[in-house]
Amino acid sequence: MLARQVKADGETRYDYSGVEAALRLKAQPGCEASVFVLVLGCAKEAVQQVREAIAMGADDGRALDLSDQAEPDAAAFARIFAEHVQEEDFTLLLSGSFPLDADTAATGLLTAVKLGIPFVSHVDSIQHAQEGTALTVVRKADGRVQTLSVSTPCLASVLPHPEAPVYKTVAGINRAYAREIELISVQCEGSSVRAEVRGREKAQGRKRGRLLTAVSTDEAVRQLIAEITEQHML
Amino acid sequence: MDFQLSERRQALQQAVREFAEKELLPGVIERDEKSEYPLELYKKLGSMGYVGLPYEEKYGGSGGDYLDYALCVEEISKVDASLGISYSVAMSLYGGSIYNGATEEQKMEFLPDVFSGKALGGFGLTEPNAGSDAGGCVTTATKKDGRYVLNGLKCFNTNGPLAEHFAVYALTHPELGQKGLSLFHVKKGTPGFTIGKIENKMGIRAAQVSELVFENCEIPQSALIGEECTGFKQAMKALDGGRIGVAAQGLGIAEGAFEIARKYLMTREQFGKPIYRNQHLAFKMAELECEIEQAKYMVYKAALDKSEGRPYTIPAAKAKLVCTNAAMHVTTEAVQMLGGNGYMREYHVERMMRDAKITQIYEGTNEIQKLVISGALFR
Amino acid sequence: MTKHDSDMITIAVILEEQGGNLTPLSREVLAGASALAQTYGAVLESLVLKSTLPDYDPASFADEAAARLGKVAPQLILMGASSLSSGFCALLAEKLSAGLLCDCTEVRFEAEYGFCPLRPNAAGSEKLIYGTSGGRPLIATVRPGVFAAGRAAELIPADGELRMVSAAQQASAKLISLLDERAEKKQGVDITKADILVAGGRGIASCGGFEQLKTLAELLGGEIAASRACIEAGWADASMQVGQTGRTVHPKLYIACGISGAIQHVTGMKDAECIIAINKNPAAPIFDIADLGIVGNLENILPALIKALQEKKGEANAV
Repeated sequence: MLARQVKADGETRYDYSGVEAALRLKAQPGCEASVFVLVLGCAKEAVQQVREAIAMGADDGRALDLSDQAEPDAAAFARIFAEHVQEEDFTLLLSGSFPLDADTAATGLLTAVKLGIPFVSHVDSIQHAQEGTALTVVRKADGRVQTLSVSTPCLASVLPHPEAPVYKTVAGINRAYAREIELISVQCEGSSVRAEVRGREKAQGRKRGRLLTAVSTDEAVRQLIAEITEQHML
Repeated sequence: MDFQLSERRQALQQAVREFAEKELLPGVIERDEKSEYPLELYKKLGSMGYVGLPYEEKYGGSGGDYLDYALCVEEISKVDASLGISYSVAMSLYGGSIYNGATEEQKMEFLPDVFSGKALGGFGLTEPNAGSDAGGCVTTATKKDGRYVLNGLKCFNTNGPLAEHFAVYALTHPELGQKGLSLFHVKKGTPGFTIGKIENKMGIRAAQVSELVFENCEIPQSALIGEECTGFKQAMKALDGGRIGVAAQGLGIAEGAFEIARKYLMTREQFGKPIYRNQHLAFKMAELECEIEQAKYMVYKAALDKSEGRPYTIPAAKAKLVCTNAAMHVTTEAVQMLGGNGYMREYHVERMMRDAKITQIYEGTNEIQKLVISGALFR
Repeated sequence: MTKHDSDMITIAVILEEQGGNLTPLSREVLAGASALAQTYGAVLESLVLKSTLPDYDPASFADEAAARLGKVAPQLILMGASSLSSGFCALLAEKLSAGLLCDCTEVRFEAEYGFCPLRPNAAGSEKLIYGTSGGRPLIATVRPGVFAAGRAAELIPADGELRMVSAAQQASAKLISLLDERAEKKQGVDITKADILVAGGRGIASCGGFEQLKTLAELLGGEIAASRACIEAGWADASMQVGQTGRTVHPKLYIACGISGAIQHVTGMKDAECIIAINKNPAAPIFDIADLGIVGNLENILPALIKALQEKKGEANAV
């Protein structure tokens, strides 16, 4: 009996890719798993997200309340997750690829390092292995597709699959709203990896640019290439 | 009096909305054009438990109540009114007919497939000469050697070509007229039972509507639901439930069209400003918003009355009247608001307007609803 | 805020090596960082980490990098934004108590702040200048294209040679093993995710439809899109439609070919960062929102543009 866990970060309403990946894995034939969801965020929304995950098919979950924390910080979040996950017996930790941690997408790796487990990012799909404790993982990054064997326990941050959504079922909704969701208050402490805003500049609004009306084909091509180059697209 | 929907119901609403927007919306225009029903999507909804919402789990349902069901019909109809009515006919008209009058054994045989969404259900009452005057049926069910033989023609049956199970009303005692009607369950493929003409309609085109033709169709004694000669009462009771479904459908259509118009008014610019800044249009939208909200509470109340065991015939008639009139009015105005674009298929509102028209007509024309309501007023 | 004396500043750059070579993005970042260091007289420290599996072990690389960088105390540490950079940089940031900013779009030297990265806000209405407090270093990952690709001669920085960072142990290598690797095939594309879109309108009928646009898009590494007219004409699939009844896109670059610029289309693409339009009608409304507009014939301009880009690509590959 393998136990999986899923992490979700912050107040991203839409970061369910980790949950969906866990549920897809659970649905694979021959896979016996329970999915536990851990959500970090503001009390009410975090509880709501745990409920939604259960409605989608997760077995249980817990909400971590960060209400008093002003700014998101990947290092602090990772510390919190690591602390709460350490006691649990899990095989696989999943997180979305773009958690709300000040855009650093780093919470996954930092948590894995704290827990001392291997970490794989940009995971496209996970196969449940028939024997042994390794999982076969397909990773898509930098234009390459890699197939890896990763030993468990491990952490994977997964790519979203908007074309294959996991929907909430009526039975799931009934289960989700028939129970109390555990809510634990947590603090962000220790060193942070935040960058601060020092200044601002107004970006230009859209207005009519340059219009070239009587140019030869060669000149037009030169101008086009110059503009594209300036936009760093070449 | 708490007007808030519980968290669980809100979650249900959101979940159906998500499914409708992701799965029903793509292709809805094409399905309307080609008159094609999305049976696979209906079955998918069923597999997630959304079809059998108002009925118990032992019959294949999901153990919810009638308000849960109305919310589901509403959300679906915001996007695809054809699926909305097909769903409502299977659940309320077929489902209600069997559920209200059948024995336990009959329920276990005739309901689970339909309530779980694996099969569709149909309702055979209307005939070419028996529309508003439903009691004017002439289809007969003659007893012969312990079986019944059906002869006649039912028309305008939603789900006809696709359904596996049908609730059919026929005269076991033709000499009694309306009082001689009885209710039967007929399975698709029974010898002597065929599908006749498939209608080519103004709206709800993706829903399949056809004639049901009975030519010496023999059915067993066990196909009789309830007692002989109680058919008319059973039909009226089923229609009461169906009216809540149609009201929810109308509400959904109105809301769907309203939202499209609202977004359009904010993005379309003429004379240098978005057109919602024209007070006439903004005021009109305010009026329509009120009309929709009135309709909403009427159908929610009727659904709750049914769920909580209170008399619901009059509330259902009122809801049907108000919601379907709102649907017609709002969709017509929506087309106008979108101007030339509103006339074009790709903007959806013209389809919603064509869909809305039938809601004022079927499951009891709005004139019949007024008959029912005024009848109660002046008893 | 004391004025920064650029003589005393060190900036660092972390480069990725795969299969014995620096990645193209790393070369770009190195060139850009070298240019900045040279222009403002700062010291450039470079570290190279091997980032191919199974050699890649972020924890021990980060330890090594932190040890070296701790000694030189850079104000700004740059790394190309790749699939593993933000994770690695976060680890490094934690060890150095540094700040972390991902996907910056510009790096400048300002008298007031020293070297600082910039990034637009979510709405795109402002550019934000980032820094840290308390003298902590700031790590910034840099998207491709922010620093123009440099030439080979600029790759050796002014001070010292490139220092390699290798993993102290390979323990984690046994936990992850590579079974297979190949290039990604392109499937049905989501145009809302593309950075570059080459879009065609009714006007491309004259130059033979979408074939040329596809070639152009491929050369630029972008995707094709279309106006409603093309969908109706059957030249393009509905999933490629940009506009009021199609999709809304926010690419970095949108090249509109033969598109008049009617509001139904413009609604779907007016928030692109840069709009280039080619149309033979000088009064086409698309020119009101284009950053660069060219009045001309697509049947002449497109083939010439494609040829010029192919030549440029040939040059770059030869380097």
